[in-house]
Amino acid sequence: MAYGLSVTNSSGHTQIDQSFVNYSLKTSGSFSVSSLTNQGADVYSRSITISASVHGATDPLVFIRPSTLPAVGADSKHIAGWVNANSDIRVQVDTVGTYQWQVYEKSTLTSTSTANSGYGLNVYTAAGDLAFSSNYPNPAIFAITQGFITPSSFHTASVTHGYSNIPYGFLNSCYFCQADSHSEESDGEEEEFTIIAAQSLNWSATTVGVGITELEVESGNTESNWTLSSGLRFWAWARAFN
Amino acid sequence: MAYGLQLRDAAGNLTLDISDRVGFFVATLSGTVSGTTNITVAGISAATTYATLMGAFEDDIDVSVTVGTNTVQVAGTGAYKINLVRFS
Repeated sequence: MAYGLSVTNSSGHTQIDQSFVNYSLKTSGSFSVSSLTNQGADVYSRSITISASVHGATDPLVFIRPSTLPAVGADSKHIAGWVNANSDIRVQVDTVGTYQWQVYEKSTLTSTSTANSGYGLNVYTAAGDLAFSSNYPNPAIFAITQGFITPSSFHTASVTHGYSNIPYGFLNSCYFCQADSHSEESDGEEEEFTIIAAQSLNWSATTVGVGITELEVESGNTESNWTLSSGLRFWAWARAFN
Repeated sequence: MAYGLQLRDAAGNLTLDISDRVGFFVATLSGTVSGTTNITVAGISAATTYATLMGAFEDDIDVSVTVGTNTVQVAGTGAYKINLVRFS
């Protein structure tokens, strides 16, 4: 850095630097799911579309979490989804309850009038763009898990979290799915289903991680073993500030 | 906080603590690939920079992304939009 402000913590992690544009909280919200739909083949889920108005449609970071955790020993809660280029967020869940989401965008797109209100610290890039403002929360990353997916295998890791502070999971990387055809008897006739198994963020009572969950069924789809975007990927987990 | 930096907004809510790791915007890449293409992005590495594909299976994206030193490799077939993020 030629000049300006740079903050690095004791772990060597850069927190503020006028050469780097931080992500800051743009908007947040919640939604509730009161019932699930039988998608067929005893797969239950609910799809939600969130219209989050962000400036940079290809830039946002989206984090999401369930508002409550499952009890110890109970099944994990799963959330799958993705962020479309038009900034809509598609979420699929397999548990009723309330879910909370946060959208972060690069600080250069945030309101300078809000950044200049109250008190605190603003940091600008050499070009005069807002790089950081203490008026906007940053995603506080407490863990990053990495893994890889191939059509036949799935490898990743989970991390332990504090029960009282449910982590937000990074939704952007949940774009993997594969489909398998199944048959079942329905009204005396055999019916074909295609079960789409989506990559999902998983919350248990004590850990967060990533897995594969059967979330959506398309009847009559003849594609099988449909696999997208295999390869190394990552999932970040952020703590809630408030 | 034992030492260091702690910032709050005007309402008194904590927005940054010395122990935090945070996210930084690096770049957005978009285009169409058929096969493999390498895109030069100065200052990135697999250790610090992460790539996410925008869109989902409804868009039928058949593209994979690999981050290397000062480069992003995009492989597959089709249009892509990639967000590069640095988590400190």
